[in-house]
Amino acid sequence: MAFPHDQDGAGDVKSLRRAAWASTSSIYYGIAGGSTLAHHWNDNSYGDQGYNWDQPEGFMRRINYHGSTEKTPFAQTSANGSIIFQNLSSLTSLARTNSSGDIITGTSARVIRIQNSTGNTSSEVYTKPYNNVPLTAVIAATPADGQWYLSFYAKKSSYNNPDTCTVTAFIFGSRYNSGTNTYSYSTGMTAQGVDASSSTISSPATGGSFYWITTPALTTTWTKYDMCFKFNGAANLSAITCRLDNDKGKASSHTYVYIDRVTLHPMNVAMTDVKTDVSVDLNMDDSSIYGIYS
Amino acid sequence: MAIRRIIINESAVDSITTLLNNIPHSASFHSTSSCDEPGMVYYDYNMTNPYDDLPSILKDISGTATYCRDHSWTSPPGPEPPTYNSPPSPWPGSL
Repeated sequence: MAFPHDQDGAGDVKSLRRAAWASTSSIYYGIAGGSTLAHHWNDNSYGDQGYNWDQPEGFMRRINYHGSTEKTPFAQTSANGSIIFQNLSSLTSLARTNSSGDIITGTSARVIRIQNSTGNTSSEVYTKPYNNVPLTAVIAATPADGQWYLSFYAKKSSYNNPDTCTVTAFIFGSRYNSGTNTYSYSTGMTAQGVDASSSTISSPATGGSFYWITTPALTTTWTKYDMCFKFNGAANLSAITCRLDNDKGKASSHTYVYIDRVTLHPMNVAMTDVKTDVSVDLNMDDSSIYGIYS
Repeated sequence: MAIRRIIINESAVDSITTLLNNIPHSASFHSTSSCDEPGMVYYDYNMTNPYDDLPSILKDISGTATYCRDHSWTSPPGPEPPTYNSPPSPWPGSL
């Protein structure tokens, strides 16, 4: 069975899981910034129902789906870098969400390319925004002790074949700060970082409010990398932000890394954890969480 | 100046100090002290841009030390300046 389960290309299935997690009272709550919020904050309307948590990318932003119009949280980079979304072929054959919101298994898609022009092998370039961000840069809501799984495929450019290139993916557990109306991994909460590079699904990294995975030296062949982690229950931790790094530059030149199909899925979730106010036997007719799919 | 504490294997102290001197983040060695775990030490380092650099420095140290565990601020940073204009509303739900 493919991991995660229910990711078998079944299409726009109005599943129990999708319905529950689209509920605005869920503590697992996917955020798709800009015009595709699952629940729009100001008019109580729901966004694009094609934004389906059952799709291969799970709660992660899907760049194929949003195309060039919705780039947050990967909209910018730190100094001396750049990020583009680039159409490539010869990818690993995977299920991805296309621009129509359909699941297509194939070897062509839009991928992320991060350029590092720092000229220094010790200098990274990383994506922004990920800290002190508005809601539109938040990936998902999470319980303070939520457990998650992140995966991505990565390679370096053939242009960089002699060079050592690595990618790091960060997931930050963040809190909402009403004073600035933003989400932060550090302000108002105790930030605790843990390297989850060695984690597995059966042995997730623990103890952190933010986690990262750094790949081994990339090759020019697409390779899958993943991490599994459980947030440490830090007070007020309630949201997830993400950052991707091209870790190493090159003297008087550039490095390029490619990243394909980033996924983010909650793990080990009980229905009572999805919707904590469940006190009666909800069923598929209950409009409080399922009605939006009628 | 903020000071961050980590726990590392004692044999990595020199290499971590060298690392901090060479990476382009504004961090530098502050002190070491004993901790209760055999072969491990508290390693404190100064940070002038704590919010921006914390993830990057931890990533670099973790790639160098055999063992590295983030611990705490021994001298906490000041208030974090807002980076973005505020959106009109927090998201609905439990916040």
